Amino acid sequence: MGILHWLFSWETLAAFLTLAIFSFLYKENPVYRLAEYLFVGLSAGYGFAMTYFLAMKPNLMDPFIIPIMQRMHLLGGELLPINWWYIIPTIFALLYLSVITPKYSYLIRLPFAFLLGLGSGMAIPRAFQASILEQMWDTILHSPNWQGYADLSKQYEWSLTVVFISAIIIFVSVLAVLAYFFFSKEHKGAYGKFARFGIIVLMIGFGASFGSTVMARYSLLIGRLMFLLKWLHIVSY
Amino acid sequence: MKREIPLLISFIAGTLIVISLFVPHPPFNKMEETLNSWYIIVSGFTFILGIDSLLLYNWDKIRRKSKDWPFALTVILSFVVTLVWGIVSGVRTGHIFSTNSTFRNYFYLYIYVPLQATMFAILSFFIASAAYRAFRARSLNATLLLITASIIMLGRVPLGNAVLIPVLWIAVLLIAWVVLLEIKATTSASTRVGYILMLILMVVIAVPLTKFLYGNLSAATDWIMDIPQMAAKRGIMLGLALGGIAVSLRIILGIERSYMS
Repeated sequence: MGILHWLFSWETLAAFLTLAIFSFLYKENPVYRLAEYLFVGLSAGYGFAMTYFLAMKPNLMDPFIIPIMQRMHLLGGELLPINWWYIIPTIFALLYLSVITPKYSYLIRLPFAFLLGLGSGMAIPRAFQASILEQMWDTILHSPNWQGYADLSKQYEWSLTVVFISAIIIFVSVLAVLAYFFFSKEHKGAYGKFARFGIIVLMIGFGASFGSTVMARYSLLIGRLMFLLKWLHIVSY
Repeated sequence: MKREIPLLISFIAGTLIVISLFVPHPPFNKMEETLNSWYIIVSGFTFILGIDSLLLYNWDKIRRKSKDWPFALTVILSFVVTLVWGIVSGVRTGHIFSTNSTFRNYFYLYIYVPLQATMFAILSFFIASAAYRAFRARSLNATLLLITASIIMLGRVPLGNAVLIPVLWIAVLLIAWVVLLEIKATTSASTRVGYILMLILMVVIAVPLTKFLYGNLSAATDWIMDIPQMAAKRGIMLGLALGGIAVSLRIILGIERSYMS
């Protein structure tokens, strides 16, 4: 009974799926492919369900579709107010379906234009604020922020000298990276050498990001191996 | 008109959202929230296009009884089961991830997480082989990549401090070897002098650096992540933001029209 319970448990299913994916390390095989295709289908279904509950339900169903269904006596409960403005995105969204008919498929441009226009409009101030102004402010060596350096010194447990030298390194390095990506001036002479320093900074940055990513992947691998050991009752944690 | 109306729509939508972000007075102050909500609705429907394509592609494989049709059937069945399970569980419990949702407690924890985590975990093997190719100390750039990644990896594990000294000395020898190769290859006398100075400097600082890192590896890892890594990221981020703003302006002003082709 104990073994049967263990064999037909959810943990065994999870272990089977884990081993099925790991089997690819030997070579491509039907069990791996089954798990791979299963993952594709599950991810699509999961994404669709999540989109419904996190995006569609609060933004379209609750303020617009459900109140209409209530008035058509398709749903019960306390009557909710209809926000008629939502008819605009609903029409745009339904125009995606025009792709089904070749004659009217050009109408798909309308929701794409709406989406790209809105997305671009949102991106301009946000990119300017978060990726330009904030980043520049944190890079510039500014005297009003001496207290900021003291706070950083306390936060990282580094001496004030290390914090200040680090601030200078960041300032020069960011300029060097920007110089490397600035192609309107030929990378020659002193400017070329400065741009070359930009490559060195980029290499250090990529190395650090790579090392960090590798460790994150290994951490996942250790997690899966620990799960298998736990499933086999070799370890308990 | 097939081209002008989409251009007008993108111009109006883009301009309205920019104005609503800068004008804190009615009706613009509430417009941002509404337009955000509309954006979520319209972008959410793009999922239907993707799913339509995925299902039709796999259904076609089944219909033609192609070689791997059972796998195509697996995609369709697993999609339908997950969707129905997710919707039913979410409607019954109020939220798809509520604590008593079977979707969360069984599907997510015992099916989705193992598949996803293992899929990413096996990347660690491929990333190791990629690292071998990328990190071969053939040039100064690759050597810098190797050393930084090694310090970060050592700093992230408990055993890192114990193996630090041999690893660091191997790294120093590797750099010395690469610099010697560069000295041999270069024709410019000034560059050669520069490399020789760099080599001397490296040997001089290697001992105090090892002493410093031993016991301070974790702090050094944090410093690399927060200073040089941040500088590189910031430079790239600034470039990306400027590029993004330029593309956004092109779309709003109707100069960028590739999405209509």
